[in-house]
Amino acid sequence: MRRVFRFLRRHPLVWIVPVLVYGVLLIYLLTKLAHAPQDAFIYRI
Amino acid sequence: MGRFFRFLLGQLGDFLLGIALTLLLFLFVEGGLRIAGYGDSAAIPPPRHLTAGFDPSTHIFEPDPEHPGGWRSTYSHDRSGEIVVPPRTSTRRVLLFGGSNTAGFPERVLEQALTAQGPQEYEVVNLGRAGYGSGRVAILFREALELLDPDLVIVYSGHNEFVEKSFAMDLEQAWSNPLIAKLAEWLERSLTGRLLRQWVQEREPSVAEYTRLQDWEAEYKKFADLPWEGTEKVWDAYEENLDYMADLAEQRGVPMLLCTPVWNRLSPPRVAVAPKELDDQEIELAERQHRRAKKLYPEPFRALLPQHDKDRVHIFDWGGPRRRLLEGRVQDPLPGLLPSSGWLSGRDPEFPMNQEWEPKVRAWYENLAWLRSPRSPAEEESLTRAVRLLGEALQHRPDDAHLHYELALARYALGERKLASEFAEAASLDHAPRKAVPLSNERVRRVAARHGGVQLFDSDRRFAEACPEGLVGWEWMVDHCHISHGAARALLEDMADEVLALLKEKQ
Repeated sequence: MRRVFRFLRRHPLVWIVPVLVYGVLLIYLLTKLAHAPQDAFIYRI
Repeated sequence: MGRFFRFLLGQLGDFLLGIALTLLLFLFVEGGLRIAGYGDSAAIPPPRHLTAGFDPSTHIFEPDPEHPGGWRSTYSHDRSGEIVVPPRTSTRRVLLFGGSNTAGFPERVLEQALTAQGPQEYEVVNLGRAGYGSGRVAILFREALELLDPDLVIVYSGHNEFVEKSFAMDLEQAWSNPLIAKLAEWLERSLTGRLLRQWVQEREPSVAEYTRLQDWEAEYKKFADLPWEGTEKVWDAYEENLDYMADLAEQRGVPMLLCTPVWNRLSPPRVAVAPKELDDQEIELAERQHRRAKKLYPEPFRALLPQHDKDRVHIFDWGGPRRRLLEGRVQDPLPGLLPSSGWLSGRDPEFPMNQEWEPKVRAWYENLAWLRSPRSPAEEESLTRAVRLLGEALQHRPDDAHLHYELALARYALGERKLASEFAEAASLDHAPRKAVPLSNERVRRVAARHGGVQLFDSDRRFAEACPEGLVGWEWMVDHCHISHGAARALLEDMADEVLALLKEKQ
């Protein structure tokens, strides 16, 4: 376990990349998807 | 230099390892969901097409695994809304295309009317989709023609040209970055993405959950400044789309019945924009006379000219989801309605049951009844003055749809009845109508005349001929563009003979 932590400390990009992808990109995309314009919504018609 | 290069290489290796870990984690969750049986589970919403039918390369139909040889659509946001098309047999197949009116058509009525002529059997597949304008109808049309092999196609499209354009503008804004759009599309296709998207949607109100019309006022203001050239472009595209469909049908030798959509004459126009070349002083003079006229309007008259969309009667004000409300019957007679003649004579408009109506529906009909009742001397005087002022305003702004409409309505309130062409002119001058108008229906007639394989079905003219005073209004319509259930039933029954004649010709 200690070796894993040491590795991650020495190679921060290995964990920063997944954190950024999941933390920023995914949340951004999901929010966008959840709020995507709706087509058949009644008030549009 | 060498050390720095080695450092960079190391960082790149770390970065790639990070990416690999990200993907691994994603695949791990995705695989886990599939193994757990979520692949076909209703717990996860089906993937949406982010281009929502605008992308011509999108495939709308996929083979129906439950009925080999059959097809099912993949458009809806919920599985229950999908269209299932059975495998092709000797039964003659008719396809219906269009927007929400078409989607609400009781297609079984047409099916029964055709089959009743015997001995041939018919199936009518309703491919109408709420919100679809001719742009997306054309894309759907091309694929359906290829895959579903129809004997005849019916197109009833034209109310949604600005509705569809507005949606396209929203999509363009939301997915303006192609990389983000690609990633989102990819995420939407994954189980993980949809599961998480559902989770987010449950926790905060999405656009779909805004239930008050006030939240949608911006929707109706999008075209508030649209110059006439912009309006013409939309109608040009409409005509091109109809031509495109007519060409496709002709190429495949499939007869096409092209309908003019029925529009409500007594629903006010939406957008009037002064032409750029018009002098400011002329605009000011017109506005001044208009303001003076407005001050003279009696209250029920004013109520028939709603300033905001929340004050208009919309199809949803009649209550409930459309399919359900179509099955009802009005219990109390509505005031202000006149009898129709000819082929519509004695027919029931089959208005939905009134338990769920918004109060403004009955109020609207009461105002309509006032409009058709005799005027008091005071009302007569003020409306006569208003007519004069509106006439003066029109001298300065002959392009203004609102002025034309209000003048026609005021003259109507004063007892004049032959005003169909005045209401038609007002509608055609609208810069962004959410309904078909005489101008667009003329284009439908032109397209039909250009194509030998296309038969025109002039539904709008048929209704106008049978409606009181030549004005298709609230007798048969539930808002600016939607016909009532009884009207749709009458229309489909009326259409059956034409469909049979076309099919006979094809043989």
